[in-house]
Amino acid sequence: MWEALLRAGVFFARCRLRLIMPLLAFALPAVAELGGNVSSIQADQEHMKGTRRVTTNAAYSVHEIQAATGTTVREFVSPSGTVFAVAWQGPATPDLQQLLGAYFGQFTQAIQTKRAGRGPVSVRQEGLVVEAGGHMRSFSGRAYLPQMMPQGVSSEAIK
Amino acid sequence: MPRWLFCVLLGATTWTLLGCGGSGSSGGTTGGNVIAGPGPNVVSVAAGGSTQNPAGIVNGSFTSVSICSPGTSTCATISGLLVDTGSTGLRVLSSVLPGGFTLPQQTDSGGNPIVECLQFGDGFTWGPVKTADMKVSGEQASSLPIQIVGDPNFTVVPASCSSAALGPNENTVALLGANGILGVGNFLQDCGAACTVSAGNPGLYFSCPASGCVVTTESLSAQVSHPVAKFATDNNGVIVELPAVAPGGAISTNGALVFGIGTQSNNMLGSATILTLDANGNFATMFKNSSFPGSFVDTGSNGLFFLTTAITGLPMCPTNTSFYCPTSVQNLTATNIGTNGHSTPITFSVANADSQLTASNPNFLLPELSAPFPTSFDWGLPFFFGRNVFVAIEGQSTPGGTGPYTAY
Repeated sequence: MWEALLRAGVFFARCRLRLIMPLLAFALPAVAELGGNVSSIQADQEHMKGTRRVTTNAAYSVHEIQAATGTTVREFVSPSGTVFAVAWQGPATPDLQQLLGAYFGQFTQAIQTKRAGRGPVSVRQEGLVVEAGGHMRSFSGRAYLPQMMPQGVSSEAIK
Repeated sequence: MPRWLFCVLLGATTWTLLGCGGSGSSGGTTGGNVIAGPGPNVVSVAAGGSTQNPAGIVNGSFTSVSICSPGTSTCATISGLLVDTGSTGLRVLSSVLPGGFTLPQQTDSGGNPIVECLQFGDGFTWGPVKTADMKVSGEQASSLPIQIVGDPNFTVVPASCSSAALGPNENTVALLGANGILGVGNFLQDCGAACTVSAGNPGLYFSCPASGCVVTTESLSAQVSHPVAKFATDNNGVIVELPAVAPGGAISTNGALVFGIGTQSNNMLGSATILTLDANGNFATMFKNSSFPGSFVDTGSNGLFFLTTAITGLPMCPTNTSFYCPTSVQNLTATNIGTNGHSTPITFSVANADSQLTASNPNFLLPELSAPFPTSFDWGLPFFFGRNVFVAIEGQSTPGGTGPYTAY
């Protein structure tokens, strides 16, 4: 979270959060996910009433949570312990407020102005990419922080 | 004669086309597939710009049905319903119902109203579950649970609904892109077994006493359900039949939504290839020697949505930043493969979206409009141009086997 905040600056949502997070960071366990600390994944797992499996490679580790709804959530953690991406697949879209954490406000603001049509959602901003969609009973998506991707990791790995 | 007042380009990443009034004409369409003529199991479909397209969306197909207070002749005809093979159930905006027209509210055992949060790929609908007789052509679905969207009596959206949303509360014609949605997909209900139990409940149905809405379980028969499955006959699926649209696009075209598969002389499978679907309603698409499961056809998606630049090599648009923008039209091939191993090759084209999504382009049908969808293929309305696509309902018997399947 600190890393995310210190790197911030251009987006309204993060500027606003910079003011309030120093107070909360010490008072509460970390609950922000995307951009948050690896320990925050525990909160996601509890929220989703899920089970967790961890796999690790040289560039990052993946914490895979199988939610009670049947949806699989994968959280990508950098060697420094920051959640730099999340992805999901299954019958229901997960709680994005929980999953996107501090970036949820930026996401919801971006999706209020949508195309006059219907199809997958795509948010592409300098500090946040969210691509998601699907159909009834089958949703998939991913969100990542381009500036926080470990060196050499492609967005293609986020799935 | 078409009469489009104006088309406006809004912002760098958001666009909208506003079409107003007039009757659309078919521009540059060519034959190939045979479109069913009028019949008791056929309703016409208007694709593109027409009076049936109330929000003026691109690549939309629309039809009309009547909804009646159950067991009565008190009915309202609702036009501008988006035909959606990607969802199940009828959803109608409260704001398009005639004044004074009411339907019975579904309640739980305690008498509290049942209200639904239904997630789509780009937003959600929130509103009460009501019961109607739905009539279309010669068919009728009696005592059908439907959703009334944007009902002024239920304006407070639960946090768990909005926090899983991929877009806004689609409670107006502009936000929904239609007067309502006629979901004629592969599933019998919109939620299914998951909503009948507490454990792992995805939280679509809410009991809403005055104190506030809480997630509740909902039996299969009470869930918003497939209208076609409730027909007395022709109840095992639908066929979406749209003519081909010439490269570059057209203003509009007319097709048909045919009820039943192999139940009448006008809905035979013929030589269509059957692609059976997995539990989530998907097949696999093979592209550039890789298989992408989780793929599907969906009249309710308004383009061809697939993969990302890293795989496709298609650059993104500078202006409409969520679309593909190759410098020249790219002709591509893929193969759709069912869980039964049956497969069909697909050829499709990708055009420069920035050059097509302009204020001066009168076309509301753009067969080459394409954009990313990270891990699979969402074959939207352009896929349906020039094909008769069969949508078989889960558990329903057809001459081609039991649904669910997609066939074309």
